[in-house]
Amino acid sequence: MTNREIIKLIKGLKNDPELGGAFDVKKSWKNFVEKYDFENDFSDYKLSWRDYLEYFTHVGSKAVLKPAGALASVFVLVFAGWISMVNVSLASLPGDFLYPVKLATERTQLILTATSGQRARLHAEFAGRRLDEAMGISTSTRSNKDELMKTAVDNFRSEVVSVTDELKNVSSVGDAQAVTDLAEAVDRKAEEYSAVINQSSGDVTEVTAVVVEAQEQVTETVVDEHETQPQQETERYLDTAFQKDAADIRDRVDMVNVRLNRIETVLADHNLSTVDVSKTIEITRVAIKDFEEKIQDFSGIFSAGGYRTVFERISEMKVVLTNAEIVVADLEIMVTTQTSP
Amino acid sequence: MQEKILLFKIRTRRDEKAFAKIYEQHASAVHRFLLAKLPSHEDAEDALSTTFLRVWNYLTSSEVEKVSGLIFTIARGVVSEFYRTKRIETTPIEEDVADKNETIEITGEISLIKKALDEMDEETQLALTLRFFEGKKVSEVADHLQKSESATRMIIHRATKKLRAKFEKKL
Repeated sequence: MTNREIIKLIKGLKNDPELGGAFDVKKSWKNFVEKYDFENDFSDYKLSWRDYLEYFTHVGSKAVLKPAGALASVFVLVFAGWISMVNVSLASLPGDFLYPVKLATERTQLILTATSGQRARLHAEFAGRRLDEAMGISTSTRSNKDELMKTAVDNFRSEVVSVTDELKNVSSVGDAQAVTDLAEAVDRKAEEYSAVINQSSGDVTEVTAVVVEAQEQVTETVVDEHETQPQQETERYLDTAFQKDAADIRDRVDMVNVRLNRIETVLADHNLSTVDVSKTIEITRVAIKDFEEKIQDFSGIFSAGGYRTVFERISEMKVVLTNAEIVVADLEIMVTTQTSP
Repeated sequence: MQEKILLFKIRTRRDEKAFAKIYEQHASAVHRFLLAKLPSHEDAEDALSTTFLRVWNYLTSSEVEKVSGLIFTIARGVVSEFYRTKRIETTPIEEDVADKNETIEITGEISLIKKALDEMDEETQLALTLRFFEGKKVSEVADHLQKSESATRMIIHRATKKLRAKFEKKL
């Protein structure tokens, strides 16, 4: 007997009931339906195109949505992590672990910025941050405070230089409105910087100098713009800047005179006057004596179009005033020391 | 593909007509399998209903790639349960199976084949049933057994040889 014959034999017996043959599937289904209350429909079941469409949509969405969901989750986690890190890094100071993240974020913002005007505003914003960092370091108790302070001031200066550079770029395009808008924005920022500096208790002479320098450079850029192409906007800006500087100088001169008078009174009351001190007071008074007359003269020069000359002279007057204020401050310290019990 | 869509419809819509189609495709093979394992036609018919009810419950709640493996796994469980219950009710399974075997009179080819199938392991039994009684292709049998086609061919070949030896001995 061969294998083939055996197979033939088995196949021949497949319908025998003893071997489960002649199985009536319809009857069996009927029993099942009656037993478990199913739908008794055993008609020719054909799948429609809708069934296929529904199935493939399901499979497709599963294949796309699952990886997409996983990818989105990863992205959200990474993004949220990055945002958290950036937020935390905003409070960091030079020397901190997260400080490079803060700088990298700022550089990215600058790269993504299209115009010089926007970049200048960003640099002004970042200069404010560098200033806050410098102030934070000046009041801190870090061991390498001097080194960090130097870094912070350098960073501040670098941002301010970038502001004026970008301002010059805007000026080169010849858009007077944009130049004045930006110059005003930088001025407002400079005022904010000055407010921060005034509140500081540390040595911020260098930082103050950077801010003054920045304001002068902004004015110079607008003067350049106006000289190249006189416009109402630039003229208005220069006029406002001149009036502001004049008022500022007058206030500072008055303040210096008031402080000198007070020093003289205290010295006289305590019989502490010496020749040297009287001479110093006199020299200081003389140095700022004719400032009011000069401002009057400058008004005439300004009206005649001598903007550059006027602002250069004002800058010189500010230097003199700053020196006078330093002398007055020294005298006040001396008086306080000598009169204290 | 058609089976996948049927399973999808059963799971998402509890489509009884789609389930009837699955029943139509697999009931005969499962019935043969159960008949070979259980003492009577009635028991096999009962076990078939129980098996397919459990298949229905599973398919409506879980996603299944291939249904044949699942059906036979459930059918095996139903058979085990049958003998377990019976043992608790009456006598131990060994005795019961032995009794069943003893009652088979080896008269003629059918009884000989039945006895030979009983002596084979479950996998071989299933392979022969599907291949020769149900007329399935080797690839389909391999799918049921979750084996490669060559391994399935080997199982069928060895089983055929054993059967031949039994017949030759008897003749």
